[in-house]
Formats: sequence, C-alpha cells, structure tokens
Amino acid sequence: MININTLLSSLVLSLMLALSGLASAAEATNATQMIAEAEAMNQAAADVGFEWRDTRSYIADAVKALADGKEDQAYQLASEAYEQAKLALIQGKLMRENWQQYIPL
Amino acid sequence: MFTTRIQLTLSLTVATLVASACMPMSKKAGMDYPALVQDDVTTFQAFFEKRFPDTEKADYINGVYSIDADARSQWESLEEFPPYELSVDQGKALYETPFANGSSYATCFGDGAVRSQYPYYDEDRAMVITLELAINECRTANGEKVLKYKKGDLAKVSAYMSFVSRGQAINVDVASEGAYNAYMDGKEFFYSKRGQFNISCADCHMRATGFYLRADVPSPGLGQTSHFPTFRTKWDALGTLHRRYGGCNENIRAKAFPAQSPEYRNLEYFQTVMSNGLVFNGPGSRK
Repeated sequence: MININTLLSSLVLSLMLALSGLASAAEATNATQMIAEAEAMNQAAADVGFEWRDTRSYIADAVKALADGKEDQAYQLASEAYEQAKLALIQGKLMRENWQQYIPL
Repeated sequence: MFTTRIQLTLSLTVATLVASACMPMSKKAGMDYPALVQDDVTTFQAFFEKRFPDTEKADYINGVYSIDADARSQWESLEEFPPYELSVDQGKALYETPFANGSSYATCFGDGAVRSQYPYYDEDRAMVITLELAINECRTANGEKVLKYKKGDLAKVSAYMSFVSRGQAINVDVASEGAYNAYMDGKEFFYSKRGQFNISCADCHMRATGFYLRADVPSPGLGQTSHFPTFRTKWDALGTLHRRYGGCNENIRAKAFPAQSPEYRNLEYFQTVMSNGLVFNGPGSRK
C-alpha cells in the first residue's frame, strides 16, 4: 500500500525535477557575467530564506580566480554557485508552498 | 523534445493540483488559537509517545539521553561534576555585578528565576522575545553594550538564570493572531527541508531520532529547548540555543541565520510550545 506521504514526496520531487529542467539556464558567456548571474540567483534564494551554506564561498573563489587571471576556473566556480543557488531557490519556493506535506504522522 | 515538454508540464500540473488539494490553511484569522495550538502539541507529543513507549514524557527534557540508555550512563557520570558549573558561578557573579548606572540584571529580572516567562510573544512589538534577547535589552536599557548571543558572558548569565529557574513549568501561550503567526512561522521552519542536503529539523529530530546518523543518535524534538544554554563537549564551552540552531543549519549545508533573528526566535517559540507540560532544566551538558 502506498503511503500518502511517500506519494506526496514523490510528486513534489517530480515537481522539483520538472522545475529544475524547465528553469532557465544561465546565459553568461564569460566569467564576469557568470559571477553576476550567480550573485543574483543566490540573492533570490536568500530572499526566500533558503540560501545554501557554500554558495557564497564559490562566488568568492570565482571572483578571486578571475582576479588572478584564471578565467576558465572562475567560470566553472561561478557556474557551480549558480546551479546551487538555482536549486536553493526551487527548494525555497517548494517548501513555502508545500511544507505541511512534510509533517511526520 | 515537444513530447518531453508536455510530459513535464502535465506532471507539474498534477503535482501542483494534488499538493494544493491536500494542503490545509497554514494561517487562520479569527480562530481559537489556543485550541489550534493544543491540537498540534497533542499530535507532536503523541508522535514521541508512540515512537518511544518506554520513555516517560517528563524525561524528554534530558534530550537524547531519554532514549539512549548507553549514552545516558556516560552522561550521568559526566553530570556528577557538571562541566557547566563554573559557567553558572561566573554567570551569578555577572548577574550580581552592578552596571555603570548602579542598576543590575536584578533591576530587570529580580532574583533571576524567570526562565518560564520566556519565550513569549510581545503584542506591542509584534515579535517573540527570548530570554537572551531580554538580557541584552536589559543591558541596553541601562546603558551597557550588548553581548554576543551565541556564547560567552551572555550564555553564562542565561545559564545562571536557567539554573535558578530549574523545575519551572514550560507553558507558553499562543493566544492572539500575531502570536499564532509567529508560531506558524516557527512551525514552517521546523518542517521545511533546507540546505544542500535537503533536510528539515523534523527529519532529524522526528523521523530519524532513535536511529543512528553516522555515529550519533539525533535527540527527540520534544524537550529540546528545555536545557539551554548547554555545555557541549564539542564546543568545550557553553552555548545558547541559537548557536546550536546555527550549527544544525550549517551541518545540512544551509546558510545559518543570525542568532536572535526572527527566524530563530520564531523557531524557538514553536519548539518551546511543543514542549508545554515539561519543565525547564537548563543549563545542560551534551556531547
């Protein structure tokens, strides 16, 4: 027998994955733009109260790498930050609307 | 590609409709707030009674040691010479030391045995007031600088006040719409998954309590706020509840909120309400 919580969790997870797939990807073509997009996305996650722990560190590392002339490394770090922030924002929006479904019975 | 989009859109729509249909109202205006909250308390406490039928309800103030016999025996040995004892003595000295204006903490809190008055919802300020916040507000009202909220002198003063308040009943009121909204914000925080690990407070302290997570058994959510500030062996020092909240959030790779932020004050409010009927027994000692 399928537990209602399991069913709802699966549905929400499906929703998360669907949203993740549909969310617009970063359009930055260089490290400077990627850093700016990561910062904006992370701020959006923070605004809903769901910022992840390490995202700012990735951005800071990207900024440092760019300052050191390591453009590719900076881009990769900023991309990681962007992806983290995007998932954090999806998580925040999902929880804001569905948190009551996660109360253990 | 087009088919995939349609499938995704369909799954998204179905999931949204089902979730919306199943989701009760989170905040209700003009309701019997104490009755609504009491229903939550009853359900919450019943969860632990069912999970741990051999644990007396009153014993949940001892955290994980109420459900883990082996860890309890070690803890009881530790409590023979409590590691927080020196901090309580230092807190007492701080409590009794007059401020520059001649007043002292006693001006604000009398004999200090006021633990059961916190946290409470201040209707005029529309916010939850915790003991640690009140301690700093007592200082600023008397011309003193604020103390840091996570550890140090503020934790020591709080430990002393908790010590002289031991045995006071936890009985937090939620009697107004404003209080209920703060309570619901704390409740939402408690049950929301967050951080890169996608884990909620309830995941560890309800679902996983009693089971090992790596080398540790997470403590039950019931009674968690009764014994703070707490001396943790890991910290080798006393720390406040909000220091612990921050550590928990960092452990699940979520960005921690500042101590005494609205998020953590509301979480403390909700968690303390859930422990109504138990007693305060701080300061505590933990691994």
